[in-house]
Amino acid sequence: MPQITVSQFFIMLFLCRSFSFFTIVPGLRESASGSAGLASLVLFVVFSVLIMLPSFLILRRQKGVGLIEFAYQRSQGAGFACATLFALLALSVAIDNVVHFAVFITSAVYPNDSNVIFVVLFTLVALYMVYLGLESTARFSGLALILLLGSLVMIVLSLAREFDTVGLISPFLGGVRPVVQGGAVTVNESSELMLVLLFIPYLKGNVKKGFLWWVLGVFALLEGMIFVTLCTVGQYAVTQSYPLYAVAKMARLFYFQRMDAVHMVIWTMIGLIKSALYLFIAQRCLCFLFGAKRKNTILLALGGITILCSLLLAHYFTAYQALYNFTLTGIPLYVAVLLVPVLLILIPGRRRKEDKA
Amino acid sequence: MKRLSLLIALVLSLSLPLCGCMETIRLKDRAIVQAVGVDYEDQKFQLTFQYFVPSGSGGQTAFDASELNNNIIRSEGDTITEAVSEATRKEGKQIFFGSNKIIVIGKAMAEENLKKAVDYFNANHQLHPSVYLMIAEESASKIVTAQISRGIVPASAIEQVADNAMNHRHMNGGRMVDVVSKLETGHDSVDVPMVKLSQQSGKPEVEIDGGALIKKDKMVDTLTEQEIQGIIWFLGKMEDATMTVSLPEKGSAALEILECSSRMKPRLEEGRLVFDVKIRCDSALRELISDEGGDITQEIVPLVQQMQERKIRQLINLALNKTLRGHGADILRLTDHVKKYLPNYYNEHRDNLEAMFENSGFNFEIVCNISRMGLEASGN
Repeated sequence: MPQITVSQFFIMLFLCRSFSFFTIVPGLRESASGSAGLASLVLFVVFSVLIMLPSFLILRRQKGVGLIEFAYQRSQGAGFACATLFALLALSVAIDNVVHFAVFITSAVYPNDSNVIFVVLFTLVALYMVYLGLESTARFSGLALILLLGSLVMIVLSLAREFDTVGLISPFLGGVRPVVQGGAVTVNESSELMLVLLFIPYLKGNVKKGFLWWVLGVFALLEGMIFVTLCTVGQYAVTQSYPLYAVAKMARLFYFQRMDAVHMVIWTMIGLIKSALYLFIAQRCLCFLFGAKRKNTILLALGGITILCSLLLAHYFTAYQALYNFTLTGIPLYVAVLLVPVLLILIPGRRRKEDKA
Repeated sequence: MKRLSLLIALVLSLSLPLCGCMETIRLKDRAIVQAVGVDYEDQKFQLTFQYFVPSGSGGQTAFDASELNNNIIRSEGDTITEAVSEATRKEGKQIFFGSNKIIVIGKAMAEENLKKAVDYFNANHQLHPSVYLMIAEESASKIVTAQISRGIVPASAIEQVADNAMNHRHMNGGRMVDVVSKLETGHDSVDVPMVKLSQQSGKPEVEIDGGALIKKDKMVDTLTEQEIQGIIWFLGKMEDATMTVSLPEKGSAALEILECSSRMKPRLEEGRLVFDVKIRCDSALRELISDEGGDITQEIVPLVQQMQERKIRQLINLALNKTLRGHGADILRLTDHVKKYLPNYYNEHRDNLEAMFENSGFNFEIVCNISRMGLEASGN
C-alpha cells in the first residue's frame, strides 16, 4: 500500500482547496462577498472542525483505519455500500474539477476554442499521475506549493502600492445571514474533508494535527486573498467572472508585465493534483469491489467516464450548474462525513473468529 | 534494432504536439492594436483602431524606428463586437487587443453612455485592466488617427503623455480598472481624464486637459485641471507633484510635494453629516521668484506654508463645488467612508445618500510642512 507523510497529504489538500478558490465564479453561488467573506471564513474553521469531530471520535480507536476499512470491519455489506458511495462521490468531484478547469480556460484564456481538447488532455495527464502513484503526486505537490506561494507573494508585492483599506467595512452591514451562509457554503464546497477520512490508511503521522494545520492554512490563504482583492482592486473584482484571475492579471513586477500566463501554469498544475487525488481514491474504492489486480482497468474506466461526463457537463452548462448547486447544499459532504460514520457505529460489529470459537 | 526503431518512432512522434492543438493565428495575420477609439453616431458604434505595422509608413526596412509604424482601421456596427468583426473582415487581420495601450471614448459616446463602451473592453480577456481609458474632447477617431511622431507608434506617445500626467498628478486614476471599480461602487460617479489634440510647430500633439465628470454612466460636465487637482488633494495622492503658490508682495514659491496623505471620517452633527478631513503634506521649497530678488530663508517658510494651505483649500472647494454640490456626484469616496464608519446611517439612507451629501458639511484640517529648502544659502 503506498504511504505518504501527513504533511505531504495536507499540502495536496491545501492545493486542492486553493484551486477551487482561484477558479471560483462568484455569480454561480450565493455566498458572502467583501468584508462579510472575511468574517465567514472564521465560521468555516469552526464548522469544519465541528463536522469532522464525530468521525475522528469514531475512528480514534482504529489506528491506521480509514472509513471504508472501518465499514468492512462492521459488515461486508456496509463495506460494499461505502466503497460504492465514496467511489461515486470521488468520481463526481474529479469530473467537477475537470469541468471547472475547462470552463475557466475557455472563458478566461481561450474563449474561441472548444472544451474537448482541454477536457481530454487534462484527464489523460491526471490519469497518468494516478498511474505513477501517490508518492510521485505527493512529491510533485511540494514543488507546486512553492510555486503557488511564490506567485501569491509576487501578486501581493506588485499590488502593494494600490492598497486602500476604505473598502474594509463592517462584515455585518447586510446582517448576520450572509456571514453564516458564506461560512456554510465554504464548508460545503470543501470535499477535501471527505478525503481526510478515506486517506488515513495511506498516511504516516498525526492526522488530526495535520487536519488542524490544513484548516488554518486554508483560512490564512483565503483570508489573505480576499483581503488583498478588497484592498487593491476593490469593486473591480465584482465585475469579473474570475476575480482572483483578474487580480493576477493586474500584477506587474519591474519589467515583468502580463504574468497571468505564469499563474495559469501554476493553477493548471494544482488542478491536475486535485483531479489525480480524487481519481486515485475512486480507483482504490473500486479496488475494494473488483479486486486490486484490476486497478489499471479500473483506472482506464474511470478516465473514460470522467472524459465523457466532463464533455457533457461542459456542453450543457445548466446541468453542470445543477450539479454544482447540489454540491453547495452540503448534502454529499454531510452524508460522507457525518451520516455514514454515525450509521456505521450503529451496525453491530463482526464477531472475531476467536470469540466465535 | 527493434528497440532503436521504437525509440526513433517515439522521438519523431514527439514532433506531432508541436503543431499545436488549437487553431493558430500567425503574427502577420494579427492586427496588434495599440490604440482604439470608440465614437457613437446615428445609433452606431464607430471604432477606430491604430495597429502596429513595421513598414506601415513606407519604411524601407522590415522595421524602421524613425517611421510611425502604424495603420488605421475604421469600422462601425450596431454593437462593438460587430464593429470589431467588421474591422477583422475589412483588413483581413484578426484584431488583437493584448498590446493595446489606450482606449479613447469620443465625447458623444461618453454623453450617451460610457458604460456601453467600457463593458466590452472590461469583458475582453486580452486587454490588461491597467490600460488607459480617456475621453476625447471631440471625436476619439481624431486622437487615434493622429500621427504623433514620438515613440515607435503614435499610441506610445499618448501613453507617455498619460504616464507623465499620472506621475505628476495632473490626472486622477485614468486606468480602466479605476473607472470600472468606481462605476461599480454604487454611487455611479467617476472622473475620467480628457485628452485633446493640439498642434505644435505644425505637428500634432496630445495633452491631458482636465477630466470628464461621469454620473450614472453619462458625461455630465467637464473638470478643469484645478478641479482635478482639488480631487487629488482631497484623496491625499499629491506626492511627487509640483505646486506654485503666490506670496503676497513677495512673488511666488515653487514647491515639490514629497509626501501627502489624507484621512476622512464622517460623523453626525444634529442629524447632519459632517466629514472631518485631515490632509497632511510634506514639501520641499525649490524656488522663490521675487522681483526683489529674495533668497530662500527660514523666515519665508511659515508664509509659504500658510499660502500653500490656502491654495489647497481653494482647489478642494473648486472640486467640491463642481462635483458634489453642482451635480451630486460622489467622486471623493464619501459613500465608502459612510459605509465604513456609519454603517447604520448608510443602511437607513442608502437610497437618498445624494441628498444627504448635498447638505453635508466639511471640516478641513490641512497641515503643510516644508522640510527641505535646497542648497542655496543667503548671502547676508
